[in-house]
Amino acid sequence: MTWEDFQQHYKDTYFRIALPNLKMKMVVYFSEVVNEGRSRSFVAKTEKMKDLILKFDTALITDFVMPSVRMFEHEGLIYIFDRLPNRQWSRGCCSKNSRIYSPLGKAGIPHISHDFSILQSAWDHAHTPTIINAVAKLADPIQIGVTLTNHFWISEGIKDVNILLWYNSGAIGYVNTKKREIEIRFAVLAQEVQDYLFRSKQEDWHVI
Amino acid sequence: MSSKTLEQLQSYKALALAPFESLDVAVKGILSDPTYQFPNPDGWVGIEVEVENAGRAIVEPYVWYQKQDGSLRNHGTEWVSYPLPTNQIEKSLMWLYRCVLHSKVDFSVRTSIHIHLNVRNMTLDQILSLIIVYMAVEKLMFKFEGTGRYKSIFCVPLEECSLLDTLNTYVEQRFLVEYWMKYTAFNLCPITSFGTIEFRHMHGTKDVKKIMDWIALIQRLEMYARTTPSKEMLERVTALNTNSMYNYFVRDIFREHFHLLNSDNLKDDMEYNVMQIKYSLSNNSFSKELWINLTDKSPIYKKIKARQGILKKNIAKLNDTLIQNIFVDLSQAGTTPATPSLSDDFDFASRWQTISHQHPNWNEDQVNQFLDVIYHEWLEHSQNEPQDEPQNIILWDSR
Repeated sequence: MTWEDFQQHYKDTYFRIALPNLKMKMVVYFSEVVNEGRSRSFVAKTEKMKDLILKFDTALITDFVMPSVRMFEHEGLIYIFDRLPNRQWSRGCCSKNSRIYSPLGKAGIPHISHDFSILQSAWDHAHTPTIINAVAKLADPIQIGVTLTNHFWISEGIKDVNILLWYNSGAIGYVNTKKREIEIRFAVLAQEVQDYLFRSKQEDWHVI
Repeated sequence: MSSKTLEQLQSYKALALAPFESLDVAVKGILSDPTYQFPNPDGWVGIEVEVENAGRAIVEPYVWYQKQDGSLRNHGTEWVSYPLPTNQIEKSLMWLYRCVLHSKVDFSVRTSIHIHLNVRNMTLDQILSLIIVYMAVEKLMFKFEGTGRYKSIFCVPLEECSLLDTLNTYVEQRFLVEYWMKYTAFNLCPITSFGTIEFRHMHGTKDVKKIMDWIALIQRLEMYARTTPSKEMLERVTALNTNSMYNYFVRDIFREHFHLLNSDNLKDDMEYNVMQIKYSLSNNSFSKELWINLTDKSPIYKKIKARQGILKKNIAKLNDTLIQNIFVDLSQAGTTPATPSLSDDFDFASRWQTISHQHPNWNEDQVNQFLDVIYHEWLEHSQNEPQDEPQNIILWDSR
């Protein structure tokens, strides 16, 4: 990739870089070009650190793909990452080609602010493997939701104290940990919940 | 939903007819007679073939014309066909690839082939059926393409965007105009202009057989949608839940073209999209009722409010601590002439603790990896001569 291509596709976007000796890749935001001469470099902003100045080097920048996870947690909240099929040239993540939204945001829940700087969480996120683990995690006072898969997640109740099971931005049933039961109230997805339990080896749970 | 066809609902420009008779004369003695069996003998398609290093046509193109394309390089251009009835598809493709294009044209990763399926004579209900059946098998279609076009910004799969969230508002043609976006792999936008649906999946290729197979698969979807009312289509999709049912459904759609698809993991490949269809087209009254009951006494509401307070306190505590302090160390390290001693200058234990505290979700490996890079950067800077750059900025160069 040429320096010109790099600027066209990645300026003002978020992408990941692999720094020397770092196995974990880091999300940066390409905010401005510093040097156009022989030593071509740009400012990379990060979520937690001060600004970095990176020399253009294709070996350094290794990951242009969008996050494969569709649902992730950041500071206890659930977010959904979507691609937007707009006419545009950016390859890195930005508001022209993708969006991040909270499934709770649609429903008058207190304002949940976010922007693309939370993308590191999308790449780092691992879904909680079992419902029991997820419920335990939900006990943390900052944990509003816990993802089970790319589409299913749990949260505190809305109408009562029962734990809710969600599919994207719609609640679909209740979780009863004592009886190990999931009461599906949106019947068309009952089979998918059953499949989830089977695949995650939680066959001692029942769907009713 | 109206039972009228699209061309009864709105007026389209008449299809421009290509000089097929002239093409017939031209191909005599040059190309053999077409043999490919397309499933829909009455269908019409339009084909767009993007090429780089295009040059000029070697012979009269007859049923093709050239259009400039800004997304291509190296004299890239797009060859666009006139509307082609099924019996002209193979001949027209052969003419383009064997006779019109010169041998040095390049089908780079930037090029692709788009198929416009004529849907003017379909009803809105049949279009909805087509959307449903396409969505169900989208991943199989991308697997047939096979080069990873699903990651292209010009060919976004429905699976990765939320266009279908609004499918339950599909009652009028207006839906297609207001909600759809061109750069979806399955592009409904041309319905209003040309009366076509555009399939943007196929990569640029010289493999004419693969292009014809691709058109055959698209025609199979069309034919299945024409004969299956949307209500019945939704019922069939909703009923899918076992491997054998998925297998039966896909065989029923593609029939003798089924073998073209990778059917190793049908359920895995289709399940999410099927789930999304079910969700988009069903009324979730449970969720709606819950939201109506949301008050400031709802457990989730109270927890979110409490969380905001906790986070504010945490931010106040952690502000400008760990990471920034480490880079202050780094800036000072530029003045350290020799390799620093680990124990004296880089306190792994306290930094490990601070990183863990600031990233409670990180596991031990992640913390170690992060610490590792910080240490190596610190080490590198410690060994460097003092620099003129602002001291709180790090220069990384892996070359």
